[in-house]
Amino acid sequence: MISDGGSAILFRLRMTIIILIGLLALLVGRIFELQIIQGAEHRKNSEKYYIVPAEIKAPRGDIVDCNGSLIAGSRQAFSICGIPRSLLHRRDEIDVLSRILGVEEDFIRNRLKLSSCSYRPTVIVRDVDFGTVSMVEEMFNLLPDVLVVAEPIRFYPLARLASHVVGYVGEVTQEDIAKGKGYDVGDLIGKTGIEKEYENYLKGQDGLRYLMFNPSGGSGPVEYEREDSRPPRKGRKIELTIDMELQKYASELLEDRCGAVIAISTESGNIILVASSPGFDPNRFATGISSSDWQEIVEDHDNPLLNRAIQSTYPPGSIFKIVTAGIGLEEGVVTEGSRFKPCSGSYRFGNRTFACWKRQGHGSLDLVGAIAVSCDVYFYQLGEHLALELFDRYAERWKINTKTGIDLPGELSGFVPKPSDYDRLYGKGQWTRGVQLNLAIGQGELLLTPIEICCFIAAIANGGYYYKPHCLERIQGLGDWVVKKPERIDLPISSSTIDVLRKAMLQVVERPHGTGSAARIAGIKVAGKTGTAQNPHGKDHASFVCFAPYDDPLIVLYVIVENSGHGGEIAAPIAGKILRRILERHYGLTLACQDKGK
Amino acid sequence: MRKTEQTILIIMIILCGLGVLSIYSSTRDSAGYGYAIRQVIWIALGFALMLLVRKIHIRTLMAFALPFYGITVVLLGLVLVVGTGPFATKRWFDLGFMRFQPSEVAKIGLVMMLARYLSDIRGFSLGTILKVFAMALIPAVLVLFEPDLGTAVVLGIIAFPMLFAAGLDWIHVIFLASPFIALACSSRLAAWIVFAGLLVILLIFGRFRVWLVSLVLAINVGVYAIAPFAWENLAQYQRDRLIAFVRPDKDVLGAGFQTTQSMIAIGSGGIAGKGLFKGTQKALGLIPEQHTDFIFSVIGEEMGFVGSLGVILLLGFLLTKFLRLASELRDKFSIFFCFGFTTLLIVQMFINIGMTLRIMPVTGLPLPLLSYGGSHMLMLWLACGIIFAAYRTRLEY
Repeated sequence: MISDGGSAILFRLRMTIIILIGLLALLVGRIFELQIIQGAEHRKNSEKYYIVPAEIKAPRGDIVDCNGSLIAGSRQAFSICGIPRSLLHRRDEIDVLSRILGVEEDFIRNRLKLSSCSYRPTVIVRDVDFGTVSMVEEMFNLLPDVLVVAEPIRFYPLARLASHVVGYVGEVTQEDIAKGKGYDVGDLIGKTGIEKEYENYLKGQDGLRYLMFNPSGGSGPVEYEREDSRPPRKGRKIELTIDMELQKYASELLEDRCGAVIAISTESGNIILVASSPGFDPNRFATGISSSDWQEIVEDHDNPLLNRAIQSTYPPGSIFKIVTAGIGLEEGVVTEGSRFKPCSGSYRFGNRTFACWKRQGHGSLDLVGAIAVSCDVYFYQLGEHLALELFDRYAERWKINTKTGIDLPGELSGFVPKPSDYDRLYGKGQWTRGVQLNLAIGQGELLLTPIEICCFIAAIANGGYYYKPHCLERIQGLGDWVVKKPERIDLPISSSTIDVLRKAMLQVVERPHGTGSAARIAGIKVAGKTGTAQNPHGKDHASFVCFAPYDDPLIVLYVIVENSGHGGEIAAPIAGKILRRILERHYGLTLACQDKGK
Repeated sequence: MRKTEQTILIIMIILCGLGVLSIYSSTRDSAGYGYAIRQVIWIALGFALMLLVRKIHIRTLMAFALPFYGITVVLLGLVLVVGTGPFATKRWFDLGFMRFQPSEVAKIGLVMMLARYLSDIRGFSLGTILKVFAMALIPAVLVLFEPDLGTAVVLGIIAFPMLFAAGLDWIHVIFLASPFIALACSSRLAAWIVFAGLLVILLIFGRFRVWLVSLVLAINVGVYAIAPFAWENLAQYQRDRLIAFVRPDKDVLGAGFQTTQSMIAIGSGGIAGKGLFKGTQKALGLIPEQHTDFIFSVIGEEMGFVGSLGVILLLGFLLTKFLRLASELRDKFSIFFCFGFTTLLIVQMFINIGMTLRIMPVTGLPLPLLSYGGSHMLMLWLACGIIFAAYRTRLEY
């Protein structure tokens, strides 16, 4: 086809080859210049400085209480970091650093080797004092691969007061990293409480910067701006429903005894107060807890890490009589005015004698009266008339032994035994119907968490429903606050039953010989129920649950003090004091002075 | 398969292999085998594509030139609407398993289209030259909007060697290219005066018509005059890169840093290099996009002068092989395509390696066969398939 232009094309192709050779020669010449002529100089330069990417840790979002007082914040701390790749090869540098920091050389090496990325700054020691910082910075000539990094550290100004609700942060585990949510070795993550529950909101977004190092000394690392450098973004602020003033008051009243106090708003499920004693200082975890500190906390017999309000199950004691009475009413076994054989201080069932807590006996009582004075004999007889299966069936229906779904991790659920459970525990046919007598007064194998009791009593107070309990008031959104609507839970329980139970609970506090009279507040009708749970290890657990005001309930309150005695003597007075404080602080009720009331 | 084809394939595969090693070396700390494995997959897919295309008759492929060009233009338009890319650019379609970069395919589309058009014309008129530039400018301008200055320039430049191959008087090629050279020189007055002087001498002693002389001079002066305004319209990073090219020592930590680091990395390789996977500059995150644009700095640092020279000789040998293959072809389309594609590779290779050596400005152009990239790999092997198809059927003409 190309006859005329064939030779012309060939000529042009040859010219192109010549141009190509010329260009290649140019490149080779330049490479020769760089690598052979200037090679030594460039090699020296290549050792002169290097640049590494370094994360800037985002401060976690603040956690505040319902009044806006800070529960968890961040403070700036200084950490000493090293670049594993270069520092691991510098024995002299590690030697100097170990003397300044006062740690073993091997400790430094191990920290560096743990890092997942050999050229990113790795934290060797967190939160050092200012003297150490200035020493490291002054000796930059001897420490070219070390840098001081400002890091936000979690700070809990109220220390142990809200330890269980807020929880604590700690270094991520391998499992957290494997989940692929962007965590790396040494990152901090919420381990318990609100810190864990709302981790995604609280954690924020780390920033990125680049640092230029000068291994030959002469200057410390210098910031190097790159297109993808970005500042960190602080985590979102979280406001809780908790009132720290009340929290403080409750822990003062509990003194050093083990126990728990919960107060929930019946109108919204807002948890105003949730104290668990003893507490711990979450600040000890903030920089990574030392193993000796950890041992000390774990080996403590009082188990301070346990949030007793949601993670402890207790025998409910006489508080459970409300449930037993409810079952009796719903099943039509008793009515408000039903009477059994009078209480003589004990009850004979089969060949066993079941004692009432009042040795001299209560005499003849109707249902309301039996609840008011917490007569055991009345409830032994009621329990005898109920089928054993009913306890579990109603517990399930009324969600008494179901996790409440509170927004705190690690909640346990209670245990209301079924016949099959007794078979499992004692062997088939090895147990008698006596167990249901004990069950009826809230003793025996029965175990409930304080929060479960609170929710059921809230339903009684409200007339059949309660709101799912929660500690979260609102989360700071990108612009506005985000508020979650409370979730209402309705229980299948007839209003006539509720009326009787409410009336009985009022009598517990208001009647002259009511067991809960210590919780009385002048001017406000309080309804409640005492619980005294026998316990093989020492004194009884004293508990008290109540709601107020009787006619238009606002608050449900539960108090338990372990190994302290009778509910009416120990728990009820505490409940009265706290209840009074809550009504004054949160509902603007001006109440007469306690002394005048008496 | 002929010996010529076998030789070309062997060189291509050796270069690809060196590319995979260098990619692995530069990414293993951050991504392990990830990039290297993907690159191997792209090479394998590209190779299969080449074998497939090679079997198609060259006249069938020629008939595809216009639709193929049309599709690439549409894709370039589409990527401006739905595309993604780094730093708010719109350079690729995110397909999940790959980031498809239409500007890579547009390179082949344009070369095919130009080869197709130039094979049909007899003699040059102003109209044909304008048409050729229009064909080149449509994709080039679209790519400029992504924005990807480097690729846009390459797309624009490719028209010149193709006109040259098609028989346009070389002096006319210089005239046509002169405004662009004037633009490149406009930042330095001395360079522009030298260039303008040479052009004037050429024009005076060339005994051309007065209108042509005046037009060329007018255009050149015009370009020099409007260059500052064009400068105003460049994106900041483009300006930084150009400044960094002209004055690399001005700001070591600024835009010149990348090239300075690359230069130090290559220079520190010395004669024999620091050894495979033993580069110190690369692993520290010194040079961004090292596995794509700055792959040559890994080779320079780790394989030294011996390795760099080897890679350049292999590339030179391969490109010469392509040009020799073009001389064996009989029909104009095949010759123009083969020639156009080869010069495209020459330009890319020179700009890319030149950039790592700090004798060219920083652009996002890949180093043929060595840089990481799926679109780039498939494009190369596709073009190779077309050239083999032309070679296979050359005796039919």
